[in-house]
Amino acid sequence: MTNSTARKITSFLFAYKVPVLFILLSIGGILVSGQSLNFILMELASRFGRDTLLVLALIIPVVSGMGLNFSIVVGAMAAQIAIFFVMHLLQTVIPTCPPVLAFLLCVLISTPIASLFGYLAGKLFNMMKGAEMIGGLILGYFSDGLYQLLFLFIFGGLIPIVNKTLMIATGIGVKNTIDLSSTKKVNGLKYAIDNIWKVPLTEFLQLVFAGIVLYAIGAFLYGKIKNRKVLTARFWILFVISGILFGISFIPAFIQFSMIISIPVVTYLIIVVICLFIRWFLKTRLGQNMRAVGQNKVVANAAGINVDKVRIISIIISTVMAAFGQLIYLQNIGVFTTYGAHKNVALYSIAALLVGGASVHKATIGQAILGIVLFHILFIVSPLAGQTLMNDAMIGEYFRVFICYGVIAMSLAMHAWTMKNTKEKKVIEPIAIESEVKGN
Amino acid sequence: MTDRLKSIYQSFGLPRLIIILFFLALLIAGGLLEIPVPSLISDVLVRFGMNGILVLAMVPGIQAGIGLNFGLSLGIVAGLLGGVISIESGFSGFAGLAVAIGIGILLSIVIGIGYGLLLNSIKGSEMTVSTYVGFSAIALMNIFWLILPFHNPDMVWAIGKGLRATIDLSSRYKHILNNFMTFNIPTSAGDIVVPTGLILFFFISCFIVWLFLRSKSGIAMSAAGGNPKFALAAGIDENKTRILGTTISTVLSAVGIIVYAQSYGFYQIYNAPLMMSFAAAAGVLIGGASISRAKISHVIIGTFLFQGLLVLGLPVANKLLPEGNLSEVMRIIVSNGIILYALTKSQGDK
Repeated sequence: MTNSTARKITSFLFAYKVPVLFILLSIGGILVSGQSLNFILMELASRFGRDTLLVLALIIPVVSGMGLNFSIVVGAMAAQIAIFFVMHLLQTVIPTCPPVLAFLLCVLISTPIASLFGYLAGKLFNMMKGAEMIGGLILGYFSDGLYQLLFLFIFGGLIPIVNKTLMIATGIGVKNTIDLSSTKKVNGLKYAIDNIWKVPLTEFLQLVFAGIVLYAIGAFLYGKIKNRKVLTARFWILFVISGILFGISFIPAFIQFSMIISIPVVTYLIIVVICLFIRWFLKTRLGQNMRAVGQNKVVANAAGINVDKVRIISIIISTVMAAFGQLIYLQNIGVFTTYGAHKNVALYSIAALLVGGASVHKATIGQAILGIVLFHILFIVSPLAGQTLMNDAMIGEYFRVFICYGVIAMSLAMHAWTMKNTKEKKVIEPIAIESEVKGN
Repeated sequence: MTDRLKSIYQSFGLPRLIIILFFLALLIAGGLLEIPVPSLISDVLVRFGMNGILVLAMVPGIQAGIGLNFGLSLGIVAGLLGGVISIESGFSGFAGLAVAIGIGILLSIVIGIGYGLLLNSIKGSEMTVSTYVGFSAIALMNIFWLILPFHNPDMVWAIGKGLRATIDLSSRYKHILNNFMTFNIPTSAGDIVVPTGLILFFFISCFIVWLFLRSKSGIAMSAAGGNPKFALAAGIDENKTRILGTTISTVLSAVGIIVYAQSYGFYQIYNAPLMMSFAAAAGVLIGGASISRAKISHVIIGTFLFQGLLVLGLPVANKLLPEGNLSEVMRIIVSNGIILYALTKSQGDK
């Protein structure tokens, strides 16, 4: 009996080795750095708000078998083009436009651009099946060149830009950094979404509990009417946890502790909506087709799925989501570094996803969220940990960059290794997939 | 006739055609804008020699079947380590260069074999994995550059610890190959300086690789890289030939970075070599190589075209648009564009 429990624990640890390793690393980092816990939580709360969408954008291409979408950089660029246009409009035509509307305008402009970019990227990936990841990486670099061409020479050069506030002194090319914060005369995009509704952590926990109770009541009534069980065991776990947190939020010591932590409710709501969208989408017919394509292209094709089209759609969705993610990210950062803001988007997002235990062929929302939390804890504490351990903050900086690259390299190698092994053993299991396809 | 033209065009590829036309356009524009041609030609020759060996390092990898070796950074790091150790030990002049190359080769053989073993266990995804293995190696070395116990005041920061980001070679072996047997060709617009030693070194390296590719093990390697099943039938151990190719590629990149640094005048450490493998890959692809086949001639033509494009592009771009860094943007677009093109060509039919 104990033997089997031990085996269960070891197999659990083996299956979740990456997150377990990073939980240990994070705890070690927190202890070594001596950073106060509420500071870490405060940083984490804002980082979670701004980075999660970018990571969620990676999930759908993984499901459709295209691996980690390194080309989300392209989506980020679409967002940045939109931001430049909107900032320019704010400077010239609509200086008193409320930040929220300006942000919505960004969404409106970036969506078609990102869709187009995603379509082109998807077309390209269909020409290099099996090499999407390296192709996506190179595509990111390539489009960075085009992006620089656009921002350095075409804006102000070929496309005349009348207002010079955002331009380099010569009038050709956009400034290195664009401040997104509002001034007396002109509104900006900074905190456009975050500041709609910001509450302290205690209040947020109470809100979450209230929301969950409301959901439970609604679901219970719905279940009564439809005579179906809607509330699952999973929900009750969530209910209990949020109940405990609700209780904690009234403890004076905790109120004292969490005073500096505030939560941008609307940003978090957007994240929840996107999560629900992904869950819903993967259950639709198209989502199921993506799964089928991801498991076996040949079988999916034989089942009458237009493989190329499904792959393109999955990249378009990912790119558009990445564009939204970058918009959220930049409105939180408040400063748009024109030529650098998109550079590390893919690297950090992919590393975060993998830290959560995802792999090249499997990624879930849970893994994404766990990954973001762990990855960013490590990011927050590593410079200080490096400082205390080695007396050099740079070591911590380099260490976290190494973690990013290392976790990606390891994950890719593991994937390739298992792929090679299965190929050598000639284990092909299309039967299970076929039944799933027929289910549609 | 049209069929033949079409087949020539197809084997040539649209991007290469564009690049050559672009090159010619730059030449003409340079002439029209009265840019001093002799000094440009000197620049092209220097950059041709200094980048050549890094581009050459792609060939054994491609021939052995691992595709474009984006893990070139592993060899580059070994070469840099060799160079740094040679400075720390106080060598300079030709001895310094030889020690740097010697240590670099030794280190890169060890690294290359390990890297080859890794690549054998992940057949089919070499390029993706090697890219990130290369990045990780650079990031890991960043930590080591900080903590390795070097003391030579030429290399460490005066305050704080760790190695400088750029290590000056002017008192060691800067331009030692460039100036070896160098001579000028006088023209009406000025002298063309020929860096004989540098170019000779490059050509000798090319010749050695050429000889190797024609040796028994070289032919076996190319055969196994081109068709693993055939190699199996012929009794060639594909895993071994892949390790051989990977190791030679790594060794060449170690030598390549030292030659590059002696011409540049500095060792650039930390993140400087991060993207060098992409430039090298672009070089060989521009010369006409594909992901599965590469020849020495591809290296020579490709390096010349690519570097020529960059050298010519800079003054022409500056004349046309004094602000901004158009030639840098052009470099990014051209080098990554050609890699993308090569990827679509090799994987499309799978």
